[in-house]
Amino acid sequence: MGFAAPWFLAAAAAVALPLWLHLLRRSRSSPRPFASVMFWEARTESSVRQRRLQFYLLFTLRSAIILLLALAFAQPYFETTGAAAGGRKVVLALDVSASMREGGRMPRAKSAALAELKKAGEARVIALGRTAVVQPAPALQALKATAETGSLAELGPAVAALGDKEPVEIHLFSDFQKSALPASFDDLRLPENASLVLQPVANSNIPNWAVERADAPARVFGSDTARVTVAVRGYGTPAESRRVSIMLNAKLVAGREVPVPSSGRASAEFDIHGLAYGLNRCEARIEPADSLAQDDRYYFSIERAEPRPVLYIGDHRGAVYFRAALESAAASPFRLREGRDEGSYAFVVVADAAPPAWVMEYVRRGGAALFAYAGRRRVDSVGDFEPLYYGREGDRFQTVSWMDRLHPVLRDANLWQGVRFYRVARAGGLRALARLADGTPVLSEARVGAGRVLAFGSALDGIANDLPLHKAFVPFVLRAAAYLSGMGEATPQRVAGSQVELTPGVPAEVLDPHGQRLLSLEQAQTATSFDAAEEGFYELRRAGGRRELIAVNADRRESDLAIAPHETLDLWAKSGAPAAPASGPARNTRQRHDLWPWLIALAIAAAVAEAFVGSRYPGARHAQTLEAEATAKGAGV
Amino acid sequence: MTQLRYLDPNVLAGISSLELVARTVVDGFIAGLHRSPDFGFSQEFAEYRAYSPGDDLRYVDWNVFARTERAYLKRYRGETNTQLTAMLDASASMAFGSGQVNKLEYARYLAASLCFLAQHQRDAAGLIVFDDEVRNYVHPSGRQGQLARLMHGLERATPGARTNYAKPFEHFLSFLHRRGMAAVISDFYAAPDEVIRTVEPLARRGTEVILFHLLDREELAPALRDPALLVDMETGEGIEVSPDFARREYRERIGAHTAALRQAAAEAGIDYVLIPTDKPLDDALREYLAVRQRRL
Repeated sequence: MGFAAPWFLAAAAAVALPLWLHLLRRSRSSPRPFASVMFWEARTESSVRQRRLQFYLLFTLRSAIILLLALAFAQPYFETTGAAAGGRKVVLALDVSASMREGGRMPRAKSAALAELKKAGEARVIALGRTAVVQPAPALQALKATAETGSLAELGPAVAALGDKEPVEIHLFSDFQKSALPASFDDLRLPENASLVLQPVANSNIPNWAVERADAPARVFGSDTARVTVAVRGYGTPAESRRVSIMLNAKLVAGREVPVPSSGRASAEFDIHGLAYGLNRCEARIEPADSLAQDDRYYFSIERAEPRPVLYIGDHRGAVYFRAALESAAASPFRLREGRDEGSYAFVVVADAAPPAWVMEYVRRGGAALFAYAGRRRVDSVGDFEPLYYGREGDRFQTVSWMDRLHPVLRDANLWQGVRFYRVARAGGLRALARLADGTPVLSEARVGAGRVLAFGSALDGIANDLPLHKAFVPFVLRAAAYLSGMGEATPQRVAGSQVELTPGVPAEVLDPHGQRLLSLEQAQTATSFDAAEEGFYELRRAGGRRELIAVNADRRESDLAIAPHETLDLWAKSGAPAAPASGPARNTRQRHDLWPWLIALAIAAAVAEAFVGSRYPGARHAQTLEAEATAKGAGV
Repeated sequence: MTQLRYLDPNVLAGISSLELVARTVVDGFIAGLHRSPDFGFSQEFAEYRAYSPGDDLRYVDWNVFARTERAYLKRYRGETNTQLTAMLDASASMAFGSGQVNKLEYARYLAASLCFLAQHQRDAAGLIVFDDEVRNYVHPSGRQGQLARLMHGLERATPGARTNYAKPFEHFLSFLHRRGMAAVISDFYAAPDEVIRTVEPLARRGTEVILFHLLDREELAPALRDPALLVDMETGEGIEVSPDFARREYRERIGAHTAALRQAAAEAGIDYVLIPTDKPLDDALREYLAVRQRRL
């Protein structure tokens, strides 16, 4: 406790003013002349007591105002000791990655961090998972290990983001998993004002088995059977057999012993029978469980569905090529139908024909269509197709010179090499996915309402171009079909902590592994992605009633509990600013807290109270004075 | 009511001339008496008396003489001469008053009215103004100009020092040659025995004594909201008092004082009238007339 301007305390002497007003002046105040005091008796004690009761409140308030103002101008302050030993700010970083779920790693890390917090007095906490999250010290107790992948490289940027100019002492509580180290040591670099104290919570490599992956088809069409390949891996383990079991919708449907070589990998195939129509929740697990039980199971989903019809409207020649390509894949999820019937389709193909009126309405409601035109055509909500004729003679054709290879339809398409385009219809105003050498878009994309449209600026009949005769045609048709039907979008398996994208503007409802809504109603309308942070199944209900089941598993790099080399860790610890000597005396950081704003506020409150109380006393006193004056006037005194 | 209104001391306070005050009071009082047959008045016809040599010819009833050719003097009751001496306490305590009129002013009005009434009945009237000394003495007389002297004496009466009843009464006894009436107007801040002991010799010598005890309403029932420092107007002594005391004990004490004074006066054959100064003057005048009638 101290004063920045102590000489202002002399103003406290002004408290003598209310003292004089209330005590000294009072004794001489308002004598009342009276005819005779013959019948009166002095009752000094009671009257003085009564007077004190009345006036001391006012006196106290007035004195308090003066004292508070004098104190406020003297600018009192007090100091608290903060931060850490050596006058540094302390940051407690806790690894919350999936590997910290092993045994008692997380409780050990938290108790060590709490002990450090008690020692330091004040600290900030960083939860180090896939990303680093800065939290206040009280949140330390509530920290839990997550299913996320840890990366020690996140620590440096997180500490730099704190923006401290003072020296920072980082205490990192982690299992220092080898797999958490970045590829480059340079990525571990810390800010220059930071020193690192490593606080390992795991001292030895612990053997761990894990289900590394389960490969199963995302969808089966027609059949109720699916084949799944389960890979089991041992990290630092002896050669041992593990029992692998397959659960289908919480029922055990298959299982057997699988010998796993020392620190090796083994795989086993299972046929899963009895798949139900719709979404099936599947799980591969190994037994017996080890100390990191979470990676002993692996979630995957299989959807069983009937092949979906695709409507082809247009020339029969093109239909032949398209059907051949579409149904070329084994267990194709599509069946091509020709005609103009209105109904429910995976998507609609309109090739060199006028689209029926219902097609665009169907697209607007969330459907999809592929328009293939080599001649002039006007398509509502899409635009006009303007024909360009190159000719079949000599070199009068065009080839594709640019493609958006990141688009799902053209992934690995390699510019459709050798494909010649003789007749092309240019569709303006759409997003081009592929262009010819003269810049004419030959494949474009557009969104119409909730649906999507692919515009192929040529025909599918093998005359306007020779694409159907090339090997690039089949993958193009299959990928276009998957894209238009929506089957190609979903990645049924995700790593914990990854973002799942949603279609902007299209409402989607997400249920987390506990069956709770992950997004509020408002978020469901506007969210473009969600964070799949936990292991389990996320159910996604998209517009149009489409449902998807996304299986989320922790990154299996977290299953490798091998500890990073001591040399590397020592080098990292020494790369920061030199740490304060552990045995040296603690130098407390003093933080100054000013009290004058509070004193001013109290003085104002006292002034308001004084005005209120004072407005009552003068009334009584004034009346008394008036009485005395009237008496004196009458008496001629 | 109109006449009574002129007896209100607050109304009289607006009149500057003391004689006019007295005339107003008495006229109003007499007008009120016409409705009240309980009291006679000296101007009422009493008897006829045969003229004898030496009688004043002004009192001959010439109408009777015209009818009977005999001279008769018309006599009125009031013509039974007596004398009134108003003894006015002008001590400092008489200056106290909580309203428009303090006790001394009220006492002046009362004394002036009594003197005016006495003169009106052809009684001799005199005045003694005293505190601890005799400050002014107007010898009782019924002569022309006496009323003016009385009024002048009353107007000169100002608050003086402490009250001492012994001196003025000794003085009064030394000048008393005729039995008559003495009206003592005071606040009687003294022990009742002392007051009566001083006044009693007068009564024993045949003088009808009336004690007019004037007290302000604030003296009878003081209203204190807060503790106060009271200063005695005679002694200058200050005393800090509480509202509780004023509410209970003081009222009991002043009540006991007036009761003791009334009792002692009655035992000594002295009339006693307690008059709060916010009351009209007619009570005092009635008392005077009652006592005078008793003397006739």
